Amino acid sequence: MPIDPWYRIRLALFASYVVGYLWFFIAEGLIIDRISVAISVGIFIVIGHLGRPLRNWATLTRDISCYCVMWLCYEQSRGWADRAGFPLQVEAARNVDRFLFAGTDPNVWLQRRYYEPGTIHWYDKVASVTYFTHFVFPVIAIAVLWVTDHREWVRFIRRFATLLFVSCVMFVVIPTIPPWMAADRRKYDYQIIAPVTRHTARGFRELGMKGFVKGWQSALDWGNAVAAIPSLHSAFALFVPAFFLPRVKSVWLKALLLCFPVLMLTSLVYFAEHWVIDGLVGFALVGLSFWFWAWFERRQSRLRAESSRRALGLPAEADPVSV
Amino acid sequence: MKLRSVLLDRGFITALLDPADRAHTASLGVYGALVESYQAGEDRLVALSTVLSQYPNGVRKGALAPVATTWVSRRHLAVATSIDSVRPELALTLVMLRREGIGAIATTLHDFERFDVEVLLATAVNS
Repeated sequence: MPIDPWYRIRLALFASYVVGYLWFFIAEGLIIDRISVAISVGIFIVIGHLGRPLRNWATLTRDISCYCVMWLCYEQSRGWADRAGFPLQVEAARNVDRFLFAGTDPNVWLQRRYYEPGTIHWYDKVASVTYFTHFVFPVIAIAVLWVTDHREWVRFIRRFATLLFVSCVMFVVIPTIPPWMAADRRKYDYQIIAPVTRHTARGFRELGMKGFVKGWQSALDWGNAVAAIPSLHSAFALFVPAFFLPRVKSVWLKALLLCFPVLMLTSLVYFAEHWVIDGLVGFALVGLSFWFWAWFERRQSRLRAESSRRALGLPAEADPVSV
Repeated sequence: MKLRSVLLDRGFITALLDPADRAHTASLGVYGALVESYQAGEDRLVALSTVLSQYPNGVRKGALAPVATTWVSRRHLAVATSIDSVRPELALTLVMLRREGIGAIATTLHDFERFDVEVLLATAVNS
């Protein structure tokens, strides 16, 4: 059987891509703005499609269009949120957190116990790295699935787009201030919790990721500051492990993977980026998205199977023929 | 859990849809079990576009509803044509199995047993 000559070319280009990406990461920091991410993902996917039939390229073009529309809608939702003028939720999320934690503010509690302004502990670095994975893991998962298994990519992106869509609607309808804004004494006038510090970038700086800090701060300037509910950081941290969980055989590894979203939410609360309820709502949306699409896909399979059985006169329950 | 992809070859589909075919009953048995595992989310059923294009939409949305299309391109055909050691139809099927990463084949032929692929054989009892 002749070996596909493009296979080796693709492998060589993938290796060059990884080396180039690592070099850029060390020299300039992580790429997080949407355009640069889209370009880097685009290069990866184009390499994966080199030598493939034209039909695959046509499918790729359609997929990329859908993918771009998805992110454009997400970006635009920030503007829609401003124009829609739904009332800003100031105390609601804090009140829910206080209810969940018997009157305690988890952000304040965590920072009083563990945060030291002049010292960066190991857990500060762990929390920063966990936060930073938000910009990497979903993109890697999408790009790799795109290249390796289109059917799985479709399953992934259905769930992902649903999560983003519902989140965007929530950002517009229930704009909510995050804890750092609720506590800010200089720029805002809410002061509904004790002072907390948004110290997310300290760990990155300590780890030498200055390029990332610069890009991240610039992204924050352009972002929707009152998009606390749901926390997409928490949602994505659950989404990626949950999608790949059925492929993992070891129970311990499964448990470890499911610790990751908990670690993410704890980090977000510690950094005063989010309320606990933001993360829980994010988790719930992931669950709903997975449930809905699993139901839909099962239904599709059942209908097709029934249609096939009817046409061939097969019994509803197949004979126990071993294949 | 990784899905098993099963390719239904031309002979298998012909036997499945033709009650007069000697392997019809056997292919119905194999297909019934495959449809069951398809519904359970364990198998993905595929057939080549060159095979499926011969059947009207009614059949494809009826008897073959669970079967997805694997598109054969000119490049695939060219590679298959370059293989002299086996007949063209078998060569194309082998090329598609390799290129599309399909690990199993439902067939009425013994030809595939010498290749590195899981064979789900549907042959007439007295064949």
